[in-house]
Order: sequence, then structure tokens, then C-alpha cells
Amino acid sequence: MTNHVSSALFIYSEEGQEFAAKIAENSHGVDITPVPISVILDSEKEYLQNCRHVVVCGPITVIKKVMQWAMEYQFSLGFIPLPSQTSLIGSYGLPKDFTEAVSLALRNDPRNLDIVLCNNQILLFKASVGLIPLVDNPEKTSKIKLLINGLKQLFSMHLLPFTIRTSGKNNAELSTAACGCLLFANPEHSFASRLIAHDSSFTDGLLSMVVVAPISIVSYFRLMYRILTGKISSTVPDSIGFIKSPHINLESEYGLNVYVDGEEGGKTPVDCRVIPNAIKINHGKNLVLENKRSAPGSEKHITKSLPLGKELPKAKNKRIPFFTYASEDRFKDLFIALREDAQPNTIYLVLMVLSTMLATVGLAMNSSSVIIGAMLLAPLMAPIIALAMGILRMDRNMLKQSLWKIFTGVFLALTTAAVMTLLSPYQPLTNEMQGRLNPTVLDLIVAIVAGIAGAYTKSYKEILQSLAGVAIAVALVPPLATAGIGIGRLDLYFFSHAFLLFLTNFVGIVLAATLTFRILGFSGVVRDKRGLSIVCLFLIAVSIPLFMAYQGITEKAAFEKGWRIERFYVNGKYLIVQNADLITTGRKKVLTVEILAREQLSRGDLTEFKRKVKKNFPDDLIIRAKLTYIP
Amino acid sequence: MKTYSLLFIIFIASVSVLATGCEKAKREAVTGDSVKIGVIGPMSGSDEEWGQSCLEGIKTALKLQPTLDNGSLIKIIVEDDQNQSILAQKALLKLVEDDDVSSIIIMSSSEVVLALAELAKRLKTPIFAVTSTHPDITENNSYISQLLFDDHFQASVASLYVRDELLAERVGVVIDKTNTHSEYLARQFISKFASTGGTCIEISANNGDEELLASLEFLQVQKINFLYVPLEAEHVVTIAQLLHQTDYHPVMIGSDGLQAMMLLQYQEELYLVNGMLATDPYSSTISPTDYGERMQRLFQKSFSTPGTVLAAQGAEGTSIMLSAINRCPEQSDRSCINQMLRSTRDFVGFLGKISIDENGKAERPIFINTVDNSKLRSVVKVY
Repeated sequence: MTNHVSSALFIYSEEGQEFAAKIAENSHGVDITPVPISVILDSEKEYLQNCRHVVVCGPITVIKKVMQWAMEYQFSLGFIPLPSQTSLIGSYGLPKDFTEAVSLALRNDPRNLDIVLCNNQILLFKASVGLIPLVDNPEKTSKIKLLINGLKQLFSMHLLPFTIRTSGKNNAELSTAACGCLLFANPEHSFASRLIAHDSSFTDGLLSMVVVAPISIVSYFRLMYRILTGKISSTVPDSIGFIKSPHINLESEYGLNVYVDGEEGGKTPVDCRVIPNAIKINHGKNLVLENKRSAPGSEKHITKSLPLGKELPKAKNKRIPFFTYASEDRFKDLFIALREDAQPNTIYLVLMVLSTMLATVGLAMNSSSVIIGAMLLAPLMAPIIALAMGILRMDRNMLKQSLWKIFTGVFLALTTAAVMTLLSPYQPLTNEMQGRLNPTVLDLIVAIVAGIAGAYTKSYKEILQSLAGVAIAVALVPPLATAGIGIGRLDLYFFSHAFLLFLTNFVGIVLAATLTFRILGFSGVVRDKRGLSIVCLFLIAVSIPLFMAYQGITEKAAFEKGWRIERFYVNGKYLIVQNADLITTGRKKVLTVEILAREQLSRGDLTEFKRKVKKNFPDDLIIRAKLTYIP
Repeated sequence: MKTYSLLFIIFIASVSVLATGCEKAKREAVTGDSVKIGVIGPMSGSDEEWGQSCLEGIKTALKLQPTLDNGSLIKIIVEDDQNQSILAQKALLKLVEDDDVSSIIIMSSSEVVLALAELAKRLKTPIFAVTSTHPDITENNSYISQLLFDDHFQASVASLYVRDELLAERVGVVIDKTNTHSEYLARQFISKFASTGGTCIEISANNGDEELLASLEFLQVQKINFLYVPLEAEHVVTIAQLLHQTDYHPVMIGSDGLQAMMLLQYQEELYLVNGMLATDPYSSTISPTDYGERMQRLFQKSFSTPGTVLAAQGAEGTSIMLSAINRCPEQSDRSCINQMLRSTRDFVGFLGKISIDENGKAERPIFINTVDNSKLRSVVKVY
């Protein structure tokens, strides 16, 4: 049994004329009747009615015309591709070599393949609607070109409203917003195939559609990163929707241009449907017919990253925002966890009292290990993170509950520490306490970093255990315990400075966590800037005393660095003065120094020393000196 | 919103106008009057560089402040004394009697200034000695004041530094008995060192090179590791050369102005004194004050010569003198200028505060510098 047909009609255009003679002399003994397309157009019935096999060579328009006739007259079809028709070669697995292409085109074992009609025009490769950044490219596009084009399109992107209807086994209607949509007869061998599962074929009775909808500049950059790094993943990336259905109808509020295989194909709406097994075609060996990963006829609706529901009014017809936003449905688990964190409960109250007790004892003992234990016990971090989310999304419920929970915790901590101090006959002033009485901008920086880390860990379940470390870094309870000790000692300075440290940490975490959640894309669909503005105002208010305190630290550092070892000639005596330590307590600046001398110093010598220090160094210093005589 | 913006612009504009007005009000217009200040110093002869360098400092200070607060121009009249007492006396008489100067800045050595004491008393003209450090300059004289610390202070500090910080037990002291400045420093050093239980061995710098060499060899045998050399640069170079010959390397400590003169006159011999210490009112490794920075910039813009401590002294002396004149209601009132000069408090100079007490003595920090590859590096600062 021969593998090739006995006779065939060769339809060619001007571009394929050169092949007419060659194919006639084919080595398979097939009787070829070469006919120019112009002749067929004049008398198609005469040539095609009894024709069994046709080989076509010409531009895509000619090929599509012949395909239409193939459907109508039921003849099988072979292709001789022009060298420039790489898409055709790729799609149907055609050989580039002429002899091999002729051999394939004349075979007598064609397969029935699906045909996609878009607005009654044959869709050979792809149809596009709207702007399709990053995805609508030739298959082999350089990364630099991709990057440049991607950045160029960044400034012209808008999300436009679309209604997508599919009918098949599952009928669905979807209202969304997107930059544009790409429809494929078969997405394999297209650039878009990098983003979607490779489970399409010419025989599955389905057409594919990729919807490009980056809802923020951040997600656009993420998509760009994925495309540029060329990471193949089974999951469809954010910003991309993917639909497979036998029938897709696409509508837009605006009459958008539709391009079918690069040619203008009218305006939206566009209606595309698959005609299964419509044509018998001689295709190449590497053509995917029945993909193993997907059963034939398996429809798909991957649309979770497309703006839907409440997000839609925010998204459509607007310039793309910088940060991603989301409806609550997208992150259900996180919001459930945060709402739980915002709820006051007995465990929280007990832990708060216990951690404060531990911190108060640790502070009195000057034991950093006990204080760290208190930090680990402290449950304040969770409601603060919930508060941050409440502020970002202006979720009044979450906001109220978390604020109430924090307030209760703070009140309990202050009361516990104050009562313990009042009841204790021993009220020392330890280094651990003193360390919490001089908050500076550096503490604010620590709080901000911890806030970022807190929000980040909360956003990803797999790193949630890091939250303990974050709590240690910020140490919310020890400053509160110190402030409570201040109340117990009836010392306003003590209380106010320690409480300022707590406020620093609190405001720093809230602001940083709010911004982090925003960057990570947790903003509400309807954004409210009031919450963030209030936090910023608090931040400014807290920053002023902190900045002043920081200036004090830098002054102290500069003073002590500048001092190192100084010499004074006092009443004929030579003093070496070292180990200067400048301590600011309220408005007083106390300079403690060590004096090395070989001669005994009198009261007059010390007075002269003090005069010289005051004359040559800034500020009104109270001087305390430790004397060491050099033998 | 527009109303707020408009109000804001009006506010900013008003503040700017007021600020400009205030700024203008501060500046006095030049009145055409002038105040004359006499300058005496070695403008020729062997110490010409000394005088010229100091005068450059004076000119720099006048560039920074060319008029008094009342708008009067400041005119300087320079007289050359070649660092000689007789010439200095003649110059002083001329400046006071013929030129009618309100005050005098003198850049000469201690010996020359000491010789002017009686004349200064008679002429009742404030004289500001900007380079001389002998303590007797201000003794029993109510019209001569000093910009620098005196020799008593500098010799005592040098002595105690060697004794208390370098922990020396014995020191060799080289004395130039023909130089009052050197003699005084040496005596004070020895006295202070002895009072703390140390021992000094004196040698003379005036008996010729051979005897000096023999004395140095004696010190070497005695294992003396420190040499106090309160001498002129010429003598120090000679000693350094002799030490080089004998392969004897004690730590040498000189006095004020020595390192500046070495840098000015003995560039090629600097390698001989590498590591040598000296007391000085300045140090190039200490960050200057705002005044110091402005003066340095102005100096570099105005002169191609390197800035020396002598130039700094000239500049500081002039600025302090102008400040004193400015505080007098009548700016040619010599008595008032003298009084104001002697009540200078915490004037911020090149590297710190300078005060001049009612006896005309300056209180300012002293530096002990070392010559480190042709540069002065501060070792200690003593308040």
C-alpha cells in the first residue's frame, strides 16, 4: 500500500509559483495538477468538486481560503510552506526542507483536525484584542527587546472592561478588566505557551484564551521577571487569566479592534468557536494531537488573578496603580487569622500579665535573659499586626478590636508593673532600666525593620515561626514594664521616657507593617488614606523627641571621641584626663572623667580644672572626676 | 486651596523681604574714615621670611574684615625692624608720633619686644606681641600684651610632658646663653623638671661645634634619651647634624616657632629632625574652627606661599586687635583699645578659644607636635 496519494491539485499564489514545476516532478509518482489561485477563484466548483487532495502554497490568506474550500468540498490538505512562514511550520510541524515538505504534503494519511472560527474567519494562529504587553511576541524574541517593549508599554497600560462568555460543558460568564486578550487555535509554539500549561492540541475541541491583566505595576514587574527569567511553571502567573473552551465570546464596552492572524478582523464583540475535526490535514510528526497531560475536552477557567467582583470598579478604565490591591476573598486564610489576632481573649490577658511580671523582675534583677523570656511570652505583636492591616484596609471592625486589645494589654502591663513596684521594698535603678529611658531614632529604625519583618512573616505561613524573633527585636513588654515601674516609683521622667520607647516601637511597627502589607498587595479595593495619615502624624510626633535624643547621642559620641585623652596644666600641675563619659539626665549633663596626676591636687586645682573644662568644652557640664595618682 | 497657596506664597515672600532687609541693616556702609594700625616686624634681613609670613596672615585677616563695625577703613603701616631692638624702637616712635596709629602689632622676637618695654610705657600705646613669648614682656608693663602663651607655661608643659607622660628621669638641656628666650625656657624647664624629682644635664650651644659635639657624646655616654633644645632653628640643625654623625638619637623637644622656621628655612635638613617634638600654639592635624577654615581658604586664595604658624599668629593677632577696637566707642582711643585687648574673652581662633587677661597674658591651649615626614602632627594638646 502506497503512502502517497495518486493525484493532487496544487494551488499556488504568485509567491508559490516557483514550486509548481518542482512538485510536478515529485519522486512519489503523484500526478500533480498545478493551478493558480486566481483561476480557482473564477471556477472553484470545476476544480474542487471531485478533488480528493490539495496541496497549497502561498500567503496565509490563500491558505485560509483553501482551508475554507477543504471544509466545504471535504478534500484533504497538504502544505508547502514558504520559507518565511515560520508560524505555519511551527503550528503544523511542517518540514523546512522542500523535498520533505513535498513528501508530507502528498501523503495519503491525513488526520482530522479542529478549526477555530473567529467572527466566521478561520483562526490559524492567534487573535488579539486590546493591548497585550509582554505576552504577544514572536516565539523567539530576545530578552532585551522584551524588556524594552515591556517598559515602553508600562506607561500606556489601562485595564479595560471585558465580559467573557464561554459555552461548552461549563457555561460561564465573567466580567473582568484586562489590558487585552489573546485567542489561540493552539497555543503550543507561541510565546504565551511559556505562561500556561502545555496541554493543548488540534484535536481537543477547545480554543485557548490568555487574558493579560496586571493589576499593579508591581505585579507587572513580577510577570516581566517570570518571562525574562524564562521560568516554566505549571501555575499560571499573577496578572494572567487562562480559559479553554469550545466557544468563547468576548465583549467590551468599547469597540476594540480585533486582529486575526495579524490581519484586521473587525471590532469587538468577537465570537470564537471550535469546529471539531473540520479538516483533514497532512501534518508533521511533532504536532501535539492528544496531549497526555490533559484529557480531550477538558475545559479550563483559571481566572483567580483577574480583577473580579468588588475589585472591578477599582480596576477598570483606570491607569494601573503602583501597588497591588486585593479583595478579602483572595486571602481568606490570612484575614481569618488576623481577625482572630484582633480578638481579646483570656489567654492574651494572662500572657500579658505573666510576661509583664517576668519583665519587671528581669529589669529589677538586671537580667537580660529573664527579659528575653518576657519578650518571648509577650503576645502584643499579633494585635499590632492586625491593627496595621485594619488601618490599611480601613476595616473598622478589625481596627476597633485590635486597638481595644492593645489598649487592654498596655493597661494591664502598666498596672502590673506599677503594683509590683509599689509592693516591693527594693526599687533599684538597673542598667536594663536605664537602657530603656533614652529612646532615639535608632529605636524607631529597629521598630520599623521589625514591623516589616512582622508583616512579612504574617503574610507567609511557612515563615510564621520567625515572629518570635521579631518580637524579641522590638521588645514591646520590657519598655511597658519600665514605664509601669516609673508609675510605681512616682517618677514622671522614668515613666514618660520608657513609655516613649514603647510608643516608638508601637508606631514604628504599625507604620512599617501597614506599608509592607500595602507593598505585598493587601490593600483594600476601596482604599482609605485616613488611617495611614493618622499613623504618619503619630510617627512625626514621636520622631521629634526621638530625633532630639538621637542628636544627644551623636553629641555624646562626638564629645567622648574628641576627648579620648586630654591634658590640663593646672596651677603648675600636669593632669592627664581620660575615659570621659557624658550622661544626659533631663537637662543636666554630667561629665565623668578619670584624672591621672603625679602631684596631690588641692580644692583650688580642681576648681581651676573645672574652669578650664567649662571654658574649652561646650555646654554647662557638671563634672565628676576619679583621681588616680601616678607614683 | 488656591487661597491657602496664595497666603503661603505671600508669607514666604514677606519673610524673604524681611530677611533681606535685616541682612542689609547689618552691614555698615564704608564711611571714608580710617583707623591706622602700625605693624613692626623683620621685613628684611635674616628673619625676612618670618616677617613676611606673619604679614601675610595680617593681610588675610584684613581681607576677611576690611572695615570696622562703624564702617571705618583699616589702614596698616608696616615698619621693618630686621628683628633688631634699635630699629624696633625707631619704628615704634615713628608709628606713634608721626603716623598717629591707634595700636601696634609687633611680630618680632622676645628680645626685641622686651627692649620696647620702657618706650611703650611712655607712649601709652597698646602693643600686641603676636610672636614673642617671654613672660617678662608683660611684667610691669600695662601696654604690651601677648597673643601666645608665655615661656613659663610652655617650658613647664614640656618639662611635665617629658616627666609625666614620657616618664623620663634624666634630660639633657641645650642652652643658647646669648638668647634671652632660650635661656629663660631652659631655666624654667630645668626648674620644673627638678621640682618633680628629675635630673637635668646642661650643655651650652655657644662654645663651637667641637665642644658641642663633645657635650653630646658625654650625654650619649650618660645614656640620656631626651634633649630639650629651646633654640633657634640654625642651632637645632647643627645639633641634629652632630647627632647624626655620632649615631646618637635622643628624642629632641624644641620650643614654639621652631618647626615653622624649619619648614620655612631648612626644608632640605628636615629629614634630620624627623620625629622631633616641639611645643607650639598650632597643629596641622587638628580640625580648625570655622574662623580657621575661612582664614585658610582666604589665605590660599590670596597667597602662593604655604601657610605657616607665623601667618596664623598674624591673622589671629589682627582679628583680636580689630575686635578690641570695635568694642571701643572712640576707635582711636588707645587707652580703651588697650583695656579691651586685655579683656578679650574666649575669642575663637584657629584651633580653639583664646583669652587675654588684665595683665596682657594669653590663655590658650598648647600643642606638642612632631615632625613626621616634613609635616607637623599633633601629639598632645594641653589646656
